[in-house]
Amino acid sequence: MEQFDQLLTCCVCLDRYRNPKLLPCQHSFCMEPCMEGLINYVTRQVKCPECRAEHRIPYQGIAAYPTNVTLQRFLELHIEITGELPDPTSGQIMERCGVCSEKNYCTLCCHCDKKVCSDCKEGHLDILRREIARVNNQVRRTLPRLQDALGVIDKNSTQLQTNCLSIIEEVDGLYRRLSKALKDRTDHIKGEIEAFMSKELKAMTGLRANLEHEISNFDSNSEFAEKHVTAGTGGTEGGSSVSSSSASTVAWDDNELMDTKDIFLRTMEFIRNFETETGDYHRRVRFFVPQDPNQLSNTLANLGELTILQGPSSSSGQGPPTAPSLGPGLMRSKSDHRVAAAFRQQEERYNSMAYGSDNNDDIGGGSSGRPRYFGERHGSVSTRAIDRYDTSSSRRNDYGDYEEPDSGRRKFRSRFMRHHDSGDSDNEPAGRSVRFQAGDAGDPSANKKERLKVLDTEDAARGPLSGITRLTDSPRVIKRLQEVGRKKKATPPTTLNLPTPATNQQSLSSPSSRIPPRPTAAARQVSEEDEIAKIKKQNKGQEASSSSDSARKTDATPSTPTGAGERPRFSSQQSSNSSEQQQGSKNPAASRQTSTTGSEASQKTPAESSSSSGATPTNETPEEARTRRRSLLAGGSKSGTSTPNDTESESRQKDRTAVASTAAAAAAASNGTAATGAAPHRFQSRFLGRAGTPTAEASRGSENSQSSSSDDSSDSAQARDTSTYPSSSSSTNHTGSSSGNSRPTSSDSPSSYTPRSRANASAAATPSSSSSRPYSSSSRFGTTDSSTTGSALSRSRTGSALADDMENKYPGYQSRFLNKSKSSAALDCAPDGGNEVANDDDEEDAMDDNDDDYNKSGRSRYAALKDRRSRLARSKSSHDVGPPAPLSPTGPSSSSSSQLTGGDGVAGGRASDPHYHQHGQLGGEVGDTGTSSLEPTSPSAESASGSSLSTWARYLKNKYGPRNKEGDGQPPSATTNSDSTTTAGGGKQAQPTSSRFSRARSIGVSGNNAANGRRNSEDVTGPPPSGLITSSSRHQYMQKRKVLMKMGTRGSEAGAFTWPRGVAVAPDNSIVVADSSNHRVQVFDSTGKFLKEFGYYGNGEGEFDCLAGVAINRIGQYIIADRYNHRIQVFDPSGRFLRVFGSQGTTDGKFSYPWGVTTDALGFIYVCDKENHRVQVFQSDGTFVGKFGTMGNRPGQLEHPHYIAVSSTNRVIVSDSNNHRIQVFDVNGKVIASFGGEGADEGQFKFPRGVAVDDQGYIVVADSGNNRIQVFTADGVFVKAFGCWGSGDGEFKGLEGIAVMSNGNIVCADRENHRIQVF
Amino acid sequence: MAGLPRRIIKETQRLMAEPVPGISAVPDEQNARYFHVVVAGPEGSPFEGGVFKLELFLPEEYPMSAPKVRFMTKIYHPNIDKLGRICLDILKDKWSPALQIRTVLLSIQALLSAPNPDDPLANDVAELWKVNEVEAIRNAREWTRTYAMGNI
Repeated sequence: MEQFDQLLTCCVCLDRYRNPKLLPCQHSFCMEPCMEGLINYVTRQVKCPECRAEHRIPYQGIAAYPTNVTLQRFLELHIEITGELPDPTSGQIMERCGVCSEKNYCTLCCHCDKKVCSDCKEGHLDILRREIARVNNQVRRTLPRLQDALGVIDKNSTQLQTNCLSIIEEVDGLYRRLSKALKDRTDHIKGEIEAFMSKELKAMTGLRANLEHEISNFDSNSEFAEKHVTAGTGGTEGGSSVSSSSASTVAWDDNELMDTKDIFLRTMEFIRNFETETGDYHRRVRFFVPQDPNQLSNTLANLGELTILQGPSSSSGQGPPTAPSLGPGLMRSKSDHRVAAAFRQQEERYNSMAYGSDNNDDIGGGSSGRPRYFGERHGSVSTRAIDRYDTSSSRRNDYGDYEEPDSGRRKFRSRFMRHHDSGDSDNEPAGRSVRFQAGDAGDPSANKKERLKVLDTEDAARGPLSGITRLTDSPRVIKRLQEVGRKKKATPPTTLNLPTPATNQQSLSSPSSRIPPRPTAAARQVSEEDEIAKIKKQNKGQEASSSSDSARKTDATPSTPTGAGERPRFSSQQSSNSSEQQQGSKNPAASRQTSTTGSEASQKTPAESSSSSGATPTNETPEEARTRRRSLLAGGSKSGTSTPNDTESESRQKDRTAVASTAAAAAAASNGTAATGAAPHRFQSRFLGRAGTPTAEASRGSENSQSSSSDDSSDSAQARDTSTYPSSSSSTNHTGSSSGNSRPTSSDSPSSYTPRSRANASAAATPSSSSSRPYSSSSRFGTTDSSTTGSALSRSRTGSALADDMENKYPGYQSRFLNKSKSSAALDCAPDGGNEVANDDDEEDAMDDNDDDYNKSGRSRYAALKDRRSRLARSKSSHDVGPPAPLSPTGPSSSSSSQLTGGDGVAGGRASDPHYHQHGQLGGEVGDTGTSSLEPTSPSAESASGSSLSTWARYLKNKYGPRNKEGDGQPPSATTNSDSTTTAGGGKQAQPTSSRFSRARSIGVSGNNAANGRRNSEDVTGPPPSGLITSSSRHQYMQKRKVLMKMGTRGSEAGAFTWPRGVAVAPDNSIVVADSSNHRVQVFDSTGKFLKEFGYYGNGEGEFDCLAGVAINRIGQYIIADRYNHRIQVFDPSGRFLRVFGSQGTTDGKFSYPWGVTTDALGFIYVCDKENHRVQVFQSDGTFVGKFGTMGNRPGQLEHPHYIAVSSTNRVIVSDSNNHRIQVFDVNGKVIASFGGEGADEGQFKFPRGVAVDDQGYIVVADSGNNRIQVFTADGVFVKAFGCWGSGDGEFKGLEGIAVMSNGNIVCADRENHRIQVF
Repeated sequence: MAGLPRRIIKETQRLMAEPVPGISAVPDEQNARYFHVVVAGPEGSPFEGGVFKLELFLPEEYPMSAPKVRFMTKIYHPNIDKLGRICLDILKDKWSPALQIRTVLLSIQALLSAPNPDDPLANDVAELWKVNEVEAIRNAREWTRTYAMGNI
């Protein structure tokens, strides 16, 4: 047997003979490669390896040698006997490998589309595996995008809900309002009717009474006449009886008779002339309606229309929302459709450039005519998905409002649907079959000429959007896994890359015990059997009727491979790949066959010719199909075109990310460079630089004075201070004089104030320090209500170490504030360094003690403090005050002034928190920035004062600290306070320049008054000069209603708006508008003249996506809430991009639809993080400082806070929109007040949006749902409401942001009217 | 490099499975085309008792071209030079694809038994072999003892 075996072995290849050729020497060799290797090409001879005989090669080549038929029969016989399996390569012809160009049995490699040998193929498979791994990595990495989208969808759904809810509310409100109006009117008219009726009735009854009276009169007259007058005559003239009866007849003299006659004549005349003017009493009331009631009811019936907001700036510039009833999706699809149409041309061009196949089209013109389905699919999974998503997200911006992210989603969806829906929506079988015919290529496992989508599976398992299947759902994959499992059991894997069906079979049939998953295997087996059953069913159906075929087609998966049936029967069927797969593996031989007959199959051409011949049909039908699909789904306007452009979009995306990263880097850099201290510094210096204008200077002066009361120019501050002294006429005088004096000086020589103040501070050392101690505490008090003396000091300490504080974030933040306030209190000179540090420990202790107390008795303590303070100050002042009235801010005088200020500061603090707040805040500001500038001037002095201060402060604290808590002595201060305000006001008024900040100070005073509930103080101050500012605001607000100015219409040109949202007023009174859906910021001067605009749509630096809030800080930088980019951007006063911070998220420093934004005097940025229901606070450089608020409706909680404002007293006012209220926080996020509730009455809100606060603390609220503006005092007491729904002057449709100009004008964004109105 | 041809695999397997008496050929671990060969000196030859190491390399074209074989052990043989190169027709022009590793090695073993001084490679040895065969054989034995014994 062995010899027999040997006889059948070729001695060259030592294998069984394959195609044995008989040489003339009677030796046989395989034709390939053995015989071929023997050829001597030079001599064209073959040398027999056995006998070395040389034979001429026939002309036709070695193939012309006779085949050793006998040997072949023996081979067959041998196979039959031994049951050996046939050589898999039998019948194949060796070819040169397309890669290594060795002769071998080659198969078509799907990777490179060449015939390659198994070795090279293995290499290619490796490459493929690596590519898959790589792409898989990419998929993994990019998967978060989808998850993000998920988050966005969630958010949007909630947004949508809230939106709809708010609309419903709005409608409800409108209904209520209308019904109320109707009812009011009805009542009114009814009342009038009744009044009229009663009046008329009354008149009638009067008339009636009169008539009755007349009648009775006449009756009696006639009777009388008959009895006594005429009877007499008659008697005398004739009747005896009468005469007898008229014995009593009076003898009337002529006069009497004449009169009587006259009376009767007049009576006669009256009766004759009397016409019952019944007409008068017939007046009828008619109800007249000037308008046709029908029309009115019609109007009402059609009142309001739901418009789905759509961004006007969409690139196509088309598609205003046509049908309100349509869902956004539909509309979008429409627009998409349009876009699609626009792109179609282009696409067709692409096609005409002959994408060899539909497949290619999908790929985006990769290898022409080279089918690369498998790899392609994987590639497309990742890149395409990303691209689409990306484009969709970019497109998202086109839609102005709420639904836009949703639109992205929809589009995304529809786009995908387009692809995998093709099977469903495509009624044209040709397209599909052609497509696959074109795309077909050899199947790796079975040497098929046509390539199957081996991993396809049932439609059900597909992702609804992408049409991507889960690989493990694919029967093929299941089978392979199963095989592997078994193989593992059977033998250690022999690393067959492409196990031929035969080996598969073998391995299947040789189970062993090694690998466990019996149950799963069984399950798989079951599923497999199910599959088979299904297939069989399908086959039956197929055979039964062609109709079922078509049906099958429609529900078949889109990617069903048409051709490549293993058996003729199958080839005609558009069966799912899985079935083919299985069939294929079972019938390897058959699977090699290309597609055959069959309805659809007829359209297929063999895969080999697909690239060329297949191209034509493919191009057209799928193209049509696609366009049709597009028009149907209209989702992928862009995507449709982008199929060829996939790569392009990808690169685009890359670019974008690159940009983003650079941006981030830049931001980081800027962050890094901008030291915490630097920002304020720059701030200051800039301001100074600008100071050329008198206002600026004045403001600066005022600031300084505020912060360092030592500054003479800060007359008002001083005035305030002085005024606080109850007793001191002298003090008041002094203050007055000082203020008066100082004022001019300051204005004259603004530049000199710093040194002066310095001097003051130093000179004032002792007194000021004493004052400063309490003062500081008070200021601390002002800023952070809960803080105490100790904390104040500590604060100051922290102030010195600003940078350090920042690290502590919130605490730092607080401390910063505090320190600022303190420094201001301490007159700036209050050297942050020395005393504070020295006192640190003490202070902290004190703080601990006092913290709790404050809330309870803070005020009283204050009062006590103040008392003490004032006493001290007074005594001092009495000394000092007299002489100085200091024009020249030198030593003593300055000291006195400073001392005074200190005292006043205390007093003020006691008088009202807001006052203090303001004081502290302003001072803090300056202190922050100013310390540096101040220090250099007189360091020694400073240090001296510092030391003195510290000791003094300590002393004070020791002495009074505890007693503060006793806190009484409030009363006397009250009156003095009001007085002080007056004086302060006067002083202020005298000031020539009306800088905003000086004003702010004065307002602070008045504000504090208000806070004290002494509104009369305003009245007291009321009289023109002093009260002008303080009291005017209330009057002003009371008189509000008339539109002073309006600007803008809908549009995108300069001066026009599309959904303006945030507005802000810059220090120079210019008006800044967030032109939301134009994605830009527009700036107007105070008269409404367009100045500039900046920003474009996008997500890069300086680009916006539906920005909402704007704010301007004191140095004129624009802070923009870039809503849909979930970030804040900062621009310099010229509109140049400075920095950006924030991204989407819920953690600290991240945003979810940031809306309103504001900034306080210190440059802290407050952001309404709307969807996170919180307010976040940042430093001006974007460093996260703190946050407050959580979702809810309890105090301190927020639901969709929209806008925010910070008062000059450091109250943070937030429009808690969905809770229909305004909440007031302190800078630490503690609720101070909350007012308003849902409703349309005065003081109630409906989705309040914009809030603004003026210098005096008046709060202006854009009561969006009620379409009115309401004004409140700082305490939330209603002052005034005006405005109603409409588009006329003074009417609103959807109020958004609001701002108050320094002259008290209210600027509001009338969103739906696309305009800004000023009142 | 393409994978190992089927024939080489087969030959190797067979060499391992059915080794030729007196010959062992083991493929190198790194290179399956390189074989470490040990041939025992045939009985009755002056090389009897010696164990000769050879190296055998199958070129890329194998089996269409002959393997390259070389003695690693010094041997006193007219057809083998000092470098171990072998003068054997089947390794040169008489190579036939029908020959195998085993046949080549058998031929080499036979060559040891029957030196062919008429087709010399080492001329001095061949000369001596022709002039004084006894002397030559003694030398050969000497060399064998010296170089081919106990060297493994």
